[in-house]
Amino acid sequence: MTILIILLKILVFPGFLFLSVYSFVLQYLDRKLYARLQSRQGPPWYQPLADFFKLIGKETLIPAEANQAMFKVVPVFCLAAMAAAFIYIPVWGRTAAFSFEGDVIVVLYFLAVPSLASFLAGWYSRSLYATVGSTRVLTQMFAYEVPMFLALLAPTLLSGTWSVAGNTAYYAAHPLLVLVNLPALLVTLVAAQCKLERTPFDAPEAETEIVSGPLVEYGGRYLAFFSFSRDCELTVVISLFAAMFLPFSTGTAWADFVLYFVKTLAVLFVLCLARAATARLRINQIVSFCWKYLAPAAMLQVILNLVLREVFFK
Amino acid sequence: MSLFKSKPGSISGAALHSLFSRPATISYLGGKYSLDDRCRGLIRYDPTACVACGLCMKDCPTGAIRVVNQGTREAKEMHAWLDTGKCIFCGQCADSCAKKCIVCTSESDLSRFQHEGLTIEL
Amino acid sequence: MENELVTAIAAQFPELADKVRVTAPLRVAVDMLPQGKFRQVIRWLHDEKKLTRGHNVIGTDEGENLGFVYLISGADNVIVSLRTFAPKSDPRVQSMTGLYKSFILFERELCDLFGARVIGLPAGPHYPLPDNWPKDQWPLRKEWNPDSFDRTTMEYKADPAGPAAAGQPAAPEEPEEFELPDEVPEPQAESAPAGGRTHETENLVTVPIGPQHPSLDEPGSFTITLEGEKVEGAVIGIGYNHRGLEKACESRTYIQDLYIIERVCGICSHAHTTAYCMGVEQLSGVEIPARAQYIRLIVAELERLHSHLLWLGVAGHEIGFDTLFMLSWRDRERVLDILTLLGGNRINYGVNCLGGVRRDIGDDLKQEMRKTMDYLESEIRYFLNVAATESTLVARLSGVGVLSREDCLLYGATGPVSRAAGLAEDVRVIEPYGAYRDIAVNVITDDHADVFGRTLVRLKEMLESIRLIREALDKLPDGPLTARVPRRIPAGEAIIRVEAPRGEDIHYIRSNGTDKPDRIRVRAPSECNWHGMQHMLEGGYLSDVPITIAAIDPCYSCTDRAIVLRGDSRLAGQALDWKELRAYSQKWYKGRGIDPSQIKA
Repeated sequence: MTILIILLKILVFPGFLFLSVYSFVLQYLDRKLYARLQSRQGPPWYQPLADFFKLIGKETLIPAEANQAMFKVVPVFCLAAMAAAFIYIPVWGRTAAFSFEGDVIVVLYFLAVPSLASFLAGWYSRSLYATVGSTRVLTQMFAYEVPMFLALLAPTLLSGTWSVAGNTAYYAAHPLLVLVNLPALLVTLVAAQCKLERTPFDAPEAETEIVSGPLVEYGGRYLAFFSFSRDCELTVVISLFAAMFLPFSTGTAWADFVLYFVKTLAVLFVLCLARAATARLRINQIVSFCWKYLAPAAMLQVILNLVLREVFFK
Repeated sequence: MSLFKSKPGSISGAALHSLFSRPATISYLGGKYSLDDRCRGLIRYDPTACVACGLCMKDCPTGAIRVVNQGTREAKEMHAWLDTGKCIFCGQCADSCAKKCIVCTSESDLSRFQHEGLTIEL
Repeated sequence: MENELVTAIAAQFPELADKVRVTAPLRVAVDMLPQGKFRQVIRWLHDEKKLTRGHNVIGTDEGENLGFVYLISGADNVIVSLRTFAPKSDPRVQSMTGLYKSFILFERELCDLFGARVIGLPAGPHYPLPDNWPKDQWPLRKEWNPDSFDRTTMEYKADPAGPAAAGQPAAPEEPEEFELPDEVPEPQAESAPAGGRTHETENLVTVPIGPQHPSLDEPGSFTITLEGEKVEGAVIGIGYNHRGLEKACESRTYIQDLYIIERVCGICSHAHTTAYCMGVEQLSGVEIPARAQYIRLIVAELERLHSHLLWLGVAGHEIGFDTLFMLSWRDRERVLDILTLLGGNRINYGVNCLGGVRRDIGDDLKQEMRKTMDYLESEIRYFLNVAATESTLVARLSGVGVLSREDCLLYGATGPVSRAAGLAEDVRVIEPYGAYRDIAVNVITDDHADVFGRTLVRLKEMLESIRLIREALDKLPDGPLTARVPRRIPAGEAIIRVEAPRGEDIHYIRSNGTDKPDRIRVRAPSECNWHGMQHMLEGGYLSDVPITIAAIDPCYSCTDRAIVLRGDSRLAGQALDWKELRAYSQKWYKGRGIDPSQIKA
């Protein structure tokens, strides 16, 4: 019986099925909001579904020079990592479907998989544009990984626990401490935009320069799964952000579930506005920006939290 | 980047304003769209006023219009054909016609499924 | 000014005293000279009189000979046209690229279209004809008939006694030596990479931008050699949009040619037709009424607004700023609505006709226009504010595509590109035409000399255009709209300059007394903005390539090339010509169950 419940939690709710549906919803809302910010109509509600099924039905062309096995397997890795990361993030308040001490690190490592998958996809496609794009993916990773890790681990220094659900529970009990983590909140917001490779940090997938970057040779069902896993990445990152930095909860599971939607939609609004209001930065400008501004701010937050822990919480 | 008074995202003012006003585009199906009368579209031909001078045929850049007298010199029976595939809707025929029997309208729904259907009689 | 130049030339070369004359304000013409004398005169004009700006080289067909017309000017803006000739049987002429760097493209055109052999021209790709064009077909010679050319097989089916093959060692007309110019022009970068230069060769990656690429609205091929992200070399290949318009103009009447000239470019269409109409009107000695001149000015400034708003959107899209793209194109729609009401069409608004304009501006349209101008002014001021302060935009645009003032003069750049480098050159101020003689234009310049400077110049020019439109609407005189222009234009030559949104647009029209022109040569402004492109691209980043290309606001005009297949081991590195390409693609489709031979070519 417990095996069945575990499987239900992993595959249905709050696991894979919930993640998929919510990813499509978030993709639709992101595109609609982006369009409305530009004074356009925007797609209808079924657009993400329609795109997914259309791509599945298309002929798949794999370049003769590409590594056939890696080409097909990389999208699946990406999707599996995102589905695995999501089960550790609380969606109904202070507890997650599964949690253990140290699952923050596990989630962060799972989040590194989409970038590596982009890199591998581009590298094994053996196409010029894909090579340039995948190099940029790694360069960008070197830029944002350090600030993002520091900023996401800074709250754990105060809460004393390395589990996402544990952090949410701690900060929900001490809501004022969220203000202490404000620098880390801002750094994670910007680093999230960087991780998700959205404007202004979408140099790896620069349509006007390298024609969709690492995924340039992808088509058909592999592209469908790649885009789908990108949407899942969006959901996971936004949910993780909401869990670590917006832990407000009322206590009851149902109200918290609705609150989860409110939080994630608010974060999506901010990310979408950032996407609409900026131009794409060059890769060297991204690296210098991240190391000049984000990394010091994250380190400052870490130092602040350490000092606070020693002074106030010992 | 530090040389200017730089404000990142300063276009968000206009972006948020667009969010709360009506979009500038209309839906393709179901949106209302109409052409102004002053647009140049299909030409209209009046056979009764035509004197068969042939200036419209001579001045047409693409040779799209063909005017034929199927009667006699005294009892004219004028017919005109326009190849809408070749016509560039410039309106030169309307300008060249001394008797003003060619007039530009704004009708623009001229696509056909067959190539032969593009030549229409005016 | 023109008279001083005539006197100076007559003083230096007394034997030419009766061959030099002033033909029009700011135009001096020198009659046909033999090649040796021509070289003396042009060198003297370049070195002593400092006529260092080269505008155009025009090839003409003079029956037995090929004629070459060179247009140059100097600081006082008088255009001097020099002529020389070479027999068709031995069409050799010396290249002037040592003196005028910007003549490279024009002289390549002479080689391709007329079959001239220009000695001393640096090696480079064909322009404007494709690489697989048959070797002895020269379209712009009068005896070449387009109907005998089969485009599917690329063969000319006329009788074999067609144009003579090049290189026939007939005795040249003047027994002279050809000296190379003193400054040997540096060799051009290697031509379009044949033979499959594959991925990594000593850390250098060759990335092709074009001919099909999301950043280009029209095909053009830029082969960028990268080391990491820095551009080490760039090879520019243009010529994909060549439609043979100049040949088409020669077989149609002046009235029909108006519409061909209009369609040289979609966004500068009014500038081209204005120049053409001015040329024909000058040749036939007709003065158009004042109301028509004002309406031409209003439409020209509306076109400038349209073009610059379009450019702003394209630049935004190239740097990934889609919001700027959408918002500026939303405002462009307002301008297009006005142009539709005025002309009847959104893009090729045929407002001009020979002798004046075809459409009038009524009072309700004036109202509409004033409202739109008010709206646009507030929007453009907002964009100016955003462009100057938005940090990601400034970060992407400043320091990119730098073309300094000296380089602008060297490469012959024109329009906003040169105005952004500090050169205050605007044809509306240099030689005011039409209603610009009554309404003064302020020339907008900037000092940045990079893409950011060009953005600021274009935005401020939009504000200036709005001011001009308002002033013209206030001062619009009453009167007729057209003057009568005869069908047969008396023989003569006209060289007309107008300020298109992209720069100086020169038209050369030669008439021979019939109702069909003898030679029309349109030199669009983008043709001379290309020369500095290689200089601007090298040393930058790959990310800067699309915005640098877009910043000169290119309006491509040329034709097709061969295809090189990579990767497929059987065909790697082989250049396919047209027939082989068709056969290969048909086989590829058949392998997938589609039979393309049913499709009519």
